[in-house]
Amino acid sequence: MTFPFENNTSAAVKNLARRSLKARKNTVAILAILLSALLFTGLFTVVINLVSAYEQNHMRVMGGHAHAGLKQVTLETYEELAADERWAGSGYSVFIGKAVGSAFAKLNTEVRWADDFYAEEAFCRPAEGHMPEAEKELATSRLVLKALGVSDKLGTEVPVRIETDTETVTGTFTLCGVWDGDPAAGAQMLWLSRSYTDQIAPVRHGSPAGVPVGEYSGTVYASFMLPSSWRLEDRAYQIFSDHGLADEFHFNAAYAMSSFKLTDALPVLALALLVLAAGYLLIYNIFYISIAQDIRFYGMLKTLGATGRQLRSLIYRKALRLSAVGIPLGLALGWALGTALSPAILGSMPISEKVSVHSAHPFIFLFGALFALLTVFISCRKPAKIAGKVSPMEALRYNEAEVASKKTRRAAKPVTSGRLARQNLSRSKKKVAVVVLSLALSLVIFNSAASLVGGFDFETFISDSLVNDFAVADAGLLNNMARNARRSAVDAALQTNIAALEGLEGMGSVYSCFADQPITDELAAIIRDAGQHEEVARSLMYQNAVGEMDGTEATRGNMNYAVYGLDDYAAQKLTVLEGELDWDRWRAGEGVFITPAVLWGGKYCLYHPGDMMSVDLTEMLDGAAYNYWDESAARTVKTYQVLAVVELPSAYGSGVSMGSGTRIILPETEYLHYVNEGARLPMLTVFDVDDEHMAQAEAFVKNYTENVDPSMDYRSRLSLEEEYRGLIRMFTLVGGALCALLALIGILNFVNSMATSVLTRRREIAMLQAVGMTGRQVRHMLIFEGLGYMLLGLAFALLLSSVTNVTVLRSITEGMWAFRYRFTLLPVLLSAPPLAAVAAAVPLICYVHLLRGQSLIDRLRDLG
Amino acid sequence: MSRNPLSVKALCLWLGAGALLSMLALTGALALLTGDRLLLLSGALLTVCALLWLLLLCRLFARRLSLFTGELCRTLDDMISGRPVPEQADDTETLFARIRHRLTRLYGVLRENRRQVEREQQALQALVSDIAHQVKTPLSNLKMVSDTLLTKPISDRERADFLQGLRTQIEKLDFLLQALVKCSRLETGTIQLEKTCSPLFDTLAQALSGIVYAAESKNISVSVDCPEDLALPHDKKWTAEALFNLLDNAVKYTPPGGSIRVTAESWEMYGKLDIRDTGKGIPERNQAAVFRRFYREEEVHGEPGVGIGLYLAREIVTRQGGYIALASEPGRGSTFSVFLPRR
Amino acid sequence: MTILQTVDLKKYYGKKPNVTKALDGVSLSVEEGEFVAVVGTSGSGKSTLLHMMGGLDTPTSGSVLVRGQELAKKSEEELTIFRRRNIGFVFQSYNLVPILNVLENIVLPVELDGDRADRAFLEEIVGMLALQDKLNSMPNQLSGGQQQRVAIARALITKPAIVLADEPTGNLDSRTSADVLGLLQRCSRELDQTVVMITHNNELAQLAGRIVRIEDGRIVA
Repeated sequence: MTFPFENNTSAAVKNLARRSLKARKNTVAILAILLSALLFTGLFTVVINLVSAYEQNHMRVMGGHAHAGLKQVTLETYEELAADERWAGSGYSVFIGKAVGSAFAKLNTEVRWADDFYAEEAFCRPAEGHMPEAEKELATSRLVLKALGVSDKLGTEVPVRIETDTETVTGTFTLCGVWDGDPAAGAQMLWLSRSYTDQIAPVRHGSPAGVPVGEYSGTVYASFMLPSSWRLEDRAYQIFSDHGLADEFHFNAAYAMSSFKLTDALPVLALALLVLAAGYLLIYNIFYISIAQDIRFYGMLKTLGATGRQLRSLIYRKALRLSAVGIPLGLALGWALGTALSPAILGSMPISEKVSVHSAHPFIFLFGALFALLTVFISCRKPAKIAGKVSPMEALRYNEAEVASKKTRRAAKPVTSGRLARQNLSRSKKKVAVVVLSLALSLVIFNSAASLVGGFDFETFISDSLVNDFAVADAGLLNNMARNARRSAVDAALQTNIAALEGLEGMGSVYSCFADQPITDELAAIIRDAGQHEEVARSLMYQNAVGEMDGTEATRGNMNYAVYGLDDYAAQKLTVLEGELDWDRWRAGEGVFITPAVLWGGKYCLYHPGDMMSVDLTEMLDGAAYNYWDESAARTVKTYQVLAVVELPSAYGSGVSMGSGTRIILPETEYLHYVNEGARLPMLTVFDVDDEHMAQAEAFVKNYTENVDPSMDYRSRLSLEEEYRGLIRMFTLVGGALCALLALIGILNFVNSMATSVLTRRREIAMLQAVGMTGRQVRHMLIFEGLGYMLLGLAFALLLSSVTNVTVLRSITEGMWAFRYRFTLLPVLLSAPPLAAVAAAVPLICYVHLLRGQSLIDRLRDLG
Repeated sequence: MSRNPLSVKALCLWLGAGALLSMLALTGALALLTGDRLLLLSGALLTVCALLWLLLLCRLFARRLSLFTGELCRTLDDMISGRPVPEQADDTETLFARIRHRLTRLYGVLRENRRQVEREQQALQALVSDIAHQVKTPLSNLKMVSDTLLTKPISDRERADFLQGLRTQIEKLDFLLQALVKCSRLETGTIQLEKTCSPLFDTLAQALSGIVYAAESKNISVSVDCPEDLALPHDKKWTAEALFNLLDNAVKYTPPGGSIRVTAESWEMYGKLDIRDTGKGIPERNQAAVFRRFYREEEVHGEPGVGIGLYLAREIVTRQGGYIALASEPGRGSTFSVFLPRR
Repeated sequence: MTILQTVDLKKYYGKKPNVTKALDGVSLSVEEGEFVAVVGTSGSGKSTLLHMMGGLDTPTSGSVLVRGQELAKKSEEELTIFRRRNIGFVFQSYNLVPILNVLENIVLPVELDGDRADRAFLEEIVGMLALQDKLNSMPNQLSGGQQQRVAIARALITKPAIVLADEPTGNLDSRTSADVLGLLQRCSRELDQTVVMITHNNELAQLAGRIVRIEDGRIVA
């Protein structure tokens, strides 16, 4: 811009820029800018879609979009907090109990009373009808009604069985309100009237905020909303603490995005930088060629009195005009691409159900445009500087000095195309370095992307859910990890049927129950040791456990272990972390395998191989008859040696854990030896079937769990494959497309470099021809040069790729859950043939089209 | 422009008010939205800060401008009073530089005008002294002869000779005076050259008619090759005079038996007329000098002529926007090329 | 007054012992309004001299003064701006801007200064050089002579202190050369414009008011 008192010469520069652009075709430049804008916008679209999907998903799983909440408190506590003026709104619900029955085995449903605010923020406000008012009115979601097999018309009679803390109540209610319901939600809601609630689950009163753990009925759950989501967590926390409720503060994690950490943005930034680099290289090259071709023009302008500043301004204006065309197009296309790709990319992330993402947040376009403009201007800087620094003599001289290059003393050796080519390459080392590096960079990026995409591992992808071909278990367990799902479920009938399946390769059983461990001095010491580790000390579960530890053995509480029983077939899937899998001793019942304390920071283990540990088997033996409080009862304790620390596949886990999350793994025989009568059935039966009979087995299991015994459910590889098939296909397509794009960028870049190298030496080549070099020799020289660039670039790429593979790629795949790290240089090698073709073809085309057209004299004078 | 544009002062005040209001409005809106009082305070502080800096900017500008104006006025004063103004180098991309550049040029023009006036005065003086000088000889001759006639007794035949001699001198004076008058008129621009578009051939014919006799008597062949349709805008009378002078010159300096060739061509921008003679040629060192006023080569001092023929011819031609080129080698003859613009 | 002056100008290329002396002590002054022709054979250093005078190249030693201002003392930007306002160039190969039409080419130096060309003056020059009908044509549609006329107009439009012409008729046939040269001379006279022209052609040099001969980097005779 022209400051005051400055001479405003922009009109002339603008005119020159405009004419200059009209003078030749600028499609390549516009395409390059478009590509940059496209990539940035696509990236940001996908990122924003992902973020909003995560948020949405979180909210739906959490069951609400309120900012903060209270759980299980008394009414007075809620009222006091709600009275605070800083809230924009608040509401509460009174928990009654859970809906029970076969219908709810696969559909976790909570029974409550709620006010309108609470129902609204829980996404459970009746779309038709109203919240229950009369005593026997009921409002619920269509999913619940479908499970109950009842019509969703208002006025229908709905029979429900409700389990509260203390009793199980049955009742029939009239449907007064209904909404669709969200299958992604953690639990469905069934609203009853306040009057009915007061009868069976009267609301808790009292001033102590908390309510004893384990008591739910009658407790108040509340939701609070702040006026804006700015600095949400801090402000909400502030209000809670002001009322002395800091401990009861529940913050909706879905809004964690407001407290956005920089580390979350790093991968995005890295990708953005990558796109920037690619775009920079491309656009820089294009502008460089353009400047090089017009260098005489700029020199002439200098002679006439155009200052360096004016020339630079000229270049920038040209760039701006080109961007004005390229960027909007790129934004639009990028957004379309990103929106199309988001569902596919989402599919590969651990998000439960399909969430709709069509974000057209203005930030996408704003940042997309900004980054693209940034790229353009960075790319222009050097070319603009070159143009600005041009000497006026440039317009006048014929550059004889350059052509009369090194009068090599080795005039003795014959001048061949190859030798000339090599000389040319060694002459302009800087240019060669730039071209080679940019080629290598694009190849490395391409290689990394291809490795990543190719490294997707379906097995790992589903390994959280399934490590065999099939698994059957209680429906409640498989579907929603219900608290009261049956741990002893797979009955003999089912087991026999499975065993009889054609093509069965193997069958295994996973048993599970709990064993309450009194905190002996020994255990207390172990726990205290654990507390030395920072990440353990920070974990909430540890702090809970510590609460049980005060006093002496007599007064201390208990810590819960989960005990698993595995038969040989299932035991194959154990992976050892420390120690050795001594099968004989294990089977003999002398030793156990244990897992790390998964709830105390993940990797820490309470025991180590070789330790002797005493396991209290009382609860296991007594089962339902186990009396936690009876301290006088005799306890059965067995001492085992810890043989190894292992990892139990999550597919074999029952989800719910308490205490530290340490699991003790016994062999089937040992387990069955000690477990009580009521829990002798496996929790999970897994089996593998050969490919031929897979479909058959699938059909059987499906039929069985739907019709014969609906309380059971199954998971199968086939059904998971089916579920993810579409997504995986899209993912591979998308990944492939991205890789192709990257490869294209690399090739385009290379094309540009080759074209530049020929065009800027027009005069020189003409000179060579004037002294007698034939067209054929010139072509050969150019081709050899091109191949030289390519080979150098390839070599560098191979080297760099190897390094990146081992360092960067490995760490990325380690962080990404479903990707396996593979070292491969295949993509680089595969791109060699097309590059060679380009290296040969481009100089040829340039030569044929651009150079042959002009006569020799013209080229020498460069009058054109 | 019928309406007066806003004075700069009013502009500044409006802008300042606008800035203040908009900044405060924005701050207020944001503060309301987020409910954060800190924002309000910081917004207000920023507003004040911005306004202060704006104020500073205004003052500095005003200062700079008035400095420049002062300097400009002084320079102009110097120019008005005719005092010398030093050359100020200002090669920057500023408005001031542009103004200074033009001032410098103005100053140059003024100075040049003054010099021009001086030169003209000098030229006039030179002309007068030239005239005086040239007139001296014939006058003294005249005096001598008339004295002789008055004082000495002479025979009739002698008297007739003397009177003839008188006559010659008078003719010479007449000739000289006419030539000088022509010169001066031409120089002072009293004579306007009237250009009409007419065939060069006619003008050439007119000029040729003047030398035909002299050429014949010296046995010099004259050949003419001029397209009849070659028409140019030119002043017929004066151009004929110029061409006559050139032809006359050619005749004078060509030995008997020689030839003079006149050719005319039309070029893109000019019409070209070549007068080639086979005379003794003019050495390079004299080639520029021949066009000077009163220049005469030594050998022809006897022939009639004052030495302003070529000078006049060049003046006439150049005043019509053309030029005369001379190509000559001693012993090889000379070619005078007359270029007259075709537009 | 002296509008251009070179003082003991020297330009040496290369290092000892292979020193090429393009200019070896050239001192020259040009008065305002003069039309000077610098004549010399190729390699005599005349082009180098012209480039020095126009500030396109820097001398090894010695100085160039235009309007009393020493060019060597100016920075790159100052020199460019000085050139823009004070020096006009006419080159052998015309060097017109191919993407602008004739009118735009002519007024380019003025527009680069953020100015508008003086309408009356522009018409006068265009008239003198017979370019009225060609104002909207592009340079590639013009003949050599016409292009050179455009170049001359461009050189004159800013009323520069001095017009430097480097072999202005080098690419033209003899007819067009005479045309162009005549025009240059006419412009110099009618507009009172100082012109320094380089040529190797003696005949053409004649048209100038003063001839300076240069040989082996030195002025002779």
